[in-house]
Amino acid sequence: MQLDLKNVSKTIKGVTILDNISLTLQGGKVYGFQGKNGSGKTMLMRLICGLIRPTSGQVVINGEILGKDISFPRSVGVLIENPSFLPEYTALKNLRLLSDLREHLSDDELKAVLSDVGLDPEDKRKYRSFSLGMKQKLGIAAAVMGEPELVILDEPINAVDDAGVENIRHILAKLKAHGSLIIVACHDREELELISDEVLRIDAGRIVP
Amino acid sequence: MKVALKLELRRLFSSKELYIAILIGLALVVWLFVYEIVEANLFAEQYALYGDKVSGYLYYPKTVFNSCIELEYDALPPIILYLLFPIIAAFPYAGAYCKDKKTGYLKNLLTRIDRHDCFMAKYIVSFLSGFLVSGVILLSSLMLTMLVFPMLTPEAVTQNYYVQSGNMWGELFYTMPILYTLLYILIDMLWCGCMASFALMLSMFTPSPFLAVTGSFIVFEVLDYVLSLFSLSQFSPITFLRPIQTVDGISFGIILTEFIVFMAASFTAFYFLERKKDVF
Repeated sequence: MQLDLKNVSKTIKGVTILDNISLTLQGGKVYGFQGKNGSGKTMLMRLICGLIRPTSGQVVINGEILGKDISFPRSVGVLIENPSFLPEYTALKNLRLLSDLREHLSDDELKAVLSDVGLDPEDKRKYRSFSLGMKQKLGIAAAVMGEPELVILDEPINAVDDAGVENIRHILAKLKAHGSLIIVACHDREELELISDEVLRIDAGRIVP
Repeated sequence: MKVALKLELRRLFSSKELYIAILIGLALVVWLFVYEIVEANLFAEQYALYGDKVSGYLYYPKTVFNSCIELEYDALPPIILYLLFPIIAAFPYAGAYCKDKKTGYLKNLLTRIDRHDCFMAKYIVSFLSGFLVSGVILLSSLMLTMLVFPMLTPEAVTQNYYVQSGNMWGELFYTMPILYTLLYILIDMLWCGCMASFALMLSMFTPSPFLAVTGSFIVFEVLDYVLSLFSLSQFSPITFLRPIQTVDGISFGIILTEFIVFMAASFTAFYFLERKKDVF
């Protein structure tokens, strides 16, 4: 797995959000994005997973140009900002619906993912009645199910308890061993340094040393 | 495409909005049905008492073709139904896209399925939702009426039918009324699908599902009002959707042309423009 950003810029309504970013990221590693609010971390993540298109430059994933050869990375798990699921379904049913779109996982595999993040797979409560922490855990479960080659997590430990944070560390270690390329943005500098192999600082839409 | 369509259909059939829209329509159908039964009984009682001299005019029985919600003229339920069709058609699904954007669920979809599949599936299911809801309501009325009223072939001289021989397919109505009714129901179903798709297109411009659903209603009502000011009501979908054809000059050409124009507008805007937008 290799991700190349080649002179990527993004301008919205005349404001430059990302400014000429060039990066090469390799699979089997965890990259931490660090930066203050509005620095462009989330925008860069949206761009990597194909939700927004660069104004100039290219995002190349395993040799394929995003937006030209592919509309989104072939194997990607994403949690950007707030997790969002269908409120009238349980956690398991929500995962099943999403998994049917791409991963086609069995019920046992889905239950295992839910257990990994610390959710009860047999919980019959609907998503709408979940606490903030439970929603976040389900968001992580959806992002990591099927062990995607590229995992993008924006503030994954938001609202998650200590045991949940420990679970996330285990999951990331497992994905890393599997060869996934993991990108994490986190305000907790200590946590970010703990889980990342490399921390990239973003300021005013640029990667800074 | 198949998986995206399957997901959206599952969402449609598990949404309470679909069943609420059908229930509203069925409530109007039942209201009309009870009204027709009461009226028919009243006539039957008077006929038993006075024979052909009932109220000074010729007694003519109620039939399927002047009592079902499509072909009844005087009662309130068909007026309400045809007035509300843009809302009833859009209610089950047109707001779903707004919710997907607002909650961020769209991100879950667009990182799993191709944009083409995602937007095409949403457009198709939106059309199907309007098509289906109107079909259930209109066919229920027809079948319910068939349970108790006879299917007499309409006779123009009795002046108990509202379709005029000069109207579109007027001759068909007086020779094969069931075919006329079924064809008109099909037109209504296709147009309700079109109205639902139009509402989906409006959801591109608003984060509010309420505005998306009512926006379509407002557009069609305003169009109806403006056209009536210029005596061009035959061009108004709200008017030509009623199989009793309340104005002259309605033609299949008008109905088809406007259908194509509205479908093309909503498809172009939603599929070609919205698909290319950034998702935040």
